[in-house]
Amino acid sequence: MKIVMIGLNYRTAPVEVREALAVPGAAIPAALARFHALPVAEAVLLSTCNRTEVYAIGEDAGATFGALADYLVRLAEEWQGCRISRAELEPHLYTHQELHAVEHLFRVASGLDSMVLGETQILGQVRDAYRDATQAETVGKVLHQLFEQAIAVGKRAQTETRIGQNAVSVSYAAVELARKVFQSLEGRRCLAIGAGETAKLTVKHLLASGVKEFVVANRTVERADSLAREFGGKAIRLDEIATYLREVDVVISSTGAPGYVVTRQHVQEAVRQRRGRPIFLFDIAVPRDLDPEIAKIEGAFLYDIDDLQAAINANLAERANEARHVERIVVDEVDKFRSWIATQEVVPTIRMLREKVESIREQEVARAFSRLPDLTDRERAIVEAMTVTLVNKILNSPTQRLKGMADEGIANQAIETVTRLFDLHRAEAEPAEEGGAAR
Amino acid sequence: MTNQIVPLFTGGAAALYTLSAITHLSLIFRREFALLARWATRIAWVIQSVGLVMLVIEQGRPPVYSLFEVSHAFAWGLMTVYILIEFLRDNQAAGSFLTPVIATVLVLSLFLPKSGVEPFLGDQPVKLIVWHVGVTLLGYAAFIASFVAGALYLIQDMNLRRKNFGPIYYALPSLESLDILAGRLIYIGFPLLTLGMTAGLSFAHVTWETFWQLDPKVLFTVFVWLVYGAYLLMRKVWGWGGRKAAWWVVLGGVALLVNYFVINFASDVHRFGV
Repeated sequence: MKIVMIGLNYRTAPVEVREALAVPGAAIPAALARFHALPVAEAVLLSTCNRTEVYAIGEDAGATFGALADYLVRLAEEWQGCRISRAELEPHLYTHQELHAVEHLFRVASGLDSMVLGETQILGQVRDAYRDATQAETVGKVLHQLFEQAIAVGKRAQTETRIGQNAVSVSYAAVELARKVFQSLEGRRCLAIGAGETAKLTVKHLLASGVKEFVVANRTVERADSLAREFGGKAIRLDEIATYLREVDVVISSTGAPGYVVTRQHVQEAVRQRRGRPIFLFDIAVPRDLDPEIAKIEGAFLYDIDDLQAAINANLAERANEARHVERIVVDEVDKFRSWIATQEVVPTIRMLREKVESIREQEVARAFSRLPDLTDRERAIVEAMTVTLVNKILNSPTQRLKGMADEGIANQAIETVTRLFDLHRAEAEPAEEGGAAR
Repeated sequence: MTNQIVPLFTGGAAALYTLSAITHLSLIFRREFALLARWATRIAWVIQSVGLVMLVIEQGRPPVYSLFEVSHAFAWGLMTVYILIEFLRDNQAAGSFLTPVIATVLVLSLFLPKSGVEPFLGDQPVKLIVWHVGVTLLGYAAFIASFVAGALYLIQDMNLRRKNFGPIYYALPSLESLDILAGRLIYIGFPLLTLGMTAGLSFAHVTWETFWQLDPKVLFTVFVWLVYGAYLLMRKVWGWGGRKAAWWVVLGGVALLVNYFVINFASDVHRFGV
């Protein structure tokens, strides 16, 4: 049994191919159901706008890869009505097996393989893929362990490192900068000058961070009105800006105006009336709306689009820096998984050993009880408990050692020895069912 | 016997405080030593506490009679506050900026006059002295913390203005919270300093039958008191804050440190019998 993965992502496939393989959410159960007809024991389908990947357990890696590639070809045809031949698809596909497949999934779940390094959405998508596959009953013991662990890796990356912490979009970077000036954006007021797309997005982020009142000024009052209505704000004329400057804490400007819409004098006057309480302005317009001289005013913080970009670059560098810590987590977790897989080999032996000793125990207890008919219930319970403890204590170290030897890669030798020592004659041990015994 | 042991504890505590400061500083850049920072600090605190108790037992009096003793107690007080913050709020970021200051105070204290002969003051109320030094020191602790907050405000302000998005930018909180923090600490420190000064004055009255010893330390302390008083007044009346306020707080802190480390040596009554 081998762990294999096959898939494509934004690096290996252009958007035309990716969209052909993006399975819509509603179609996932049907797509998963098809795995039952394939020569795979277990399978999970991970489909997002940036990647489509299948993780499966198959007898033979080569055959499984072939079957899964055909499966992907059919997916494209069935759900997107896109005829793509296997020969056309193959150059975009990458495959991994065994621990490389494990490592790949862990990297994906922790955002290391994402287009935007460290983004957290992918973790939710991995979780959904796992949940859907569990519901479709295509997941068995190995993929359960694999995906549970992948989700844990993603969580560790988020909690133990700062990989997902800093903004990488202009609008969110602006909000984050504002948060370095104000303790909280709760109850703040903001002013949007111009009603462009980025401004809209930023306003949305600001409102989500608790900004209370929001005023929008625009050359054409209709546009201002519509934006104000959309987000529940107030529309004003451009020449009213000066009056509002002293009341608002955050200003976003994005007009197409050729000259400066807000001058140094405007802000100077506003800041004076604010008595040192800072005002935060960002100018995402080109040509700029806000006089660069504003930056020299004590209580004013001015950022233009380049500054925001610089913040984003710094954030990306910070993420790349953190990625090294995440890589370490991945290595660590892959090793844990390797160790788990290795110990799985000895699980049947351990079970056989336990069964044998348990049956001896039961026999002997029954015999003892039949010779001691006068025992009270309490006494019987004590004797019974004693035998259970005895068996558990004796079997404890052989169980641990077996797993330990499996972990060292000498599982066969261990199994051989134990089978002979304890005379475990059951030639073919059926695969272990409960993973609980192994963990 | 304790004579040899106390310096051992003090030295050990100073070494561990230094380790704590270095590891806390490293947290700005990476998190590797978070655990080490936490436990070095806690162990250092325990060691220092034991050392302090032994010092008190050895001397048979509160540790307020030499600059060394006072600094030692002062560092202990500051660290107690930080450990509580770290324990209750799980906020190690504060440590990156506080522990270096505390370590500096403790290490510097090792070089300060240790002798501390208890001045002969007749049967003067010792309680008043302890009160005077203790409460003043608590006030100092609050002012030192506000000094750090003010300095951090200026650093963060510079980061924001120069668009300098380095590790320190990420580690520091917002300008507003630093401003509020500095203000709150002064709100706490000011009444404490006032109380401490009052205790000093009544002590002077009882001892020398005058409230007003013409003493450099007294004069300078009154100056410091005015600096902080003016700050609070401006804050209360005008809602003052921002960069100028941060400068004010920093300069107040510098004045305080000068008062503590320098002016003492020019003073008669505050020399701790050196």
